[in-house]
Amino acid sequence: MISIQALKKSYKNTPVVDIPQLGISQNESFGLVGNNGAGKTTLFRMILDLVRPTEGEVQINGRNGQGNDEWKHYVGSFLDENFLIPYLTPDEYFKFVGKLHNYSDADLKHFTQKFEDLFHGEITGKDKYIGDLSKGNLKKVGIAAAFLGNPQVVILDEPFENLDPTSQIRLKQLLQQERQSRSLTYLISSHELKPHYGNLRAHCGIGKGPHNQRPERNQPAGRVGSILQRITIGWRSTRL
Amino acid sequence: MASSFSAGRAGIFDFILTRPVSLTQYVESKYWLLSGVTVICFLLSIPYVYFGWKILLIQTAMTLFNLGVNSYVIMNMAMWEPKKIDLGKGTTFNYEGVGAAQWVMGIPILIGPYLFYLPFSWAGYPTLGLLAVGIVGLIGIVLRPYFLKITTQRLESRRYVIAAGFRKD
Repeated sequence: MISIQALKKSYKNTPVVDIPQLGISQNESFGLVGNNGAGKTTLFRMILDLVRPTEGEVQINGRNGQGNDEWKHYVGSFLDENFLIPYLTPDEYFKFVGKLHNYSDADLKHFTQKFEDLFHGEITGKDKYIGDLSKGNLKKVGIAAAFLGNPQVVILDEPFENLDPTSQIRLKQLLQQERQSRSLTYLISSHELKPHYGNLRAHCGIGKGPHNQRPERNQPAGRVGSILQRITIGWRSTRL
Repeated sequence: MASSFSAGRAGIFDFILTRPVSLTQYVESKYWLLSGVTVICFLLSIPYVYFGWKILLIQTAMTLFNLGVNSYVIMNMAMWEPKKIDLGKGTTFNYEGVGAAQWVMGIPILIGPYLFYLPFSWAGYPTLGLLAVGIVGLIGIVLRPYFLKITTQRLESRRYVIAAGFRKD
């Protein structure tokens, strides 16, 4: 689904991202783990063609994503608040994005219903602008909008951050549910390996510097089924 | 106007780039927004005809010039140094996204029409000067597809710089 070849990004000769080779296949859940400033978001931005790589390229479905609009129809993403429109209410925002994906009003209603649990009555049907929402609620709007247009790939940057424990559980369930009915590839980042992230296929080693020069930190944890299932199980067993 | 437009979409550029919207559509919608505002301003200024037909002539010539020339100038200069505007921060004395560069950008917009008006005015034909300004505007309106295409190409080549500019807080 996504294949990365010799991808490099440097700012003023300081390498930020350096990935020799990485392939993420269809229906895989890929967890990206690394410290602050490790380049997780930069990698996502390069996949989404928001940052131009210094070297190498990212192929989405066999085509170079750079300067091509096709992938935008089936890749949903939420990295930060720049993906939202602060002066719209969540309802207006969903409607606008829905229109870009040719959603009818009925489609949109069906769509928001799926997120009712996660929204907890604080997002839809309120006259509050996205710019005035709390960080957690902002995140929920962005995550939900990433699913508009029935994407085949969903890219989320630290989606569990700023969410309360209940919302985290609901989000995990939701991410799982979404992939039950159809094929869905997830790319999800986090900045720490929490116990409940334990078994995801992690591309850690996104530390500072060239990633391939630090083999001890560059250890893919192995493909283990559905990471999200693992996350849920992990969560239950940790019982914070 | 120029300053608010340069910051334009209040940092939703990442949104535009990751959603199924082509940059052509983006540039066109910006153009229509700009044109709409210009036309509304023109309609509102019609009552000034009370002070003489000359005023209406100036307004018409300038409206044409704005639609046909300044729209493209503003859109292209807006790519120069984008700044994020926080539209949520009230409207009075809102200097969000206004910096030295934004003031400098206003200069060509103010000077532009004079380039076409002054030669005629100095030669003793001020009305002809206004006509010239209007005709230049009309030519620009007719050549709209061409200018919008150039604007889109420029935006395409500067997209990463602009996106990075909006991400800085």
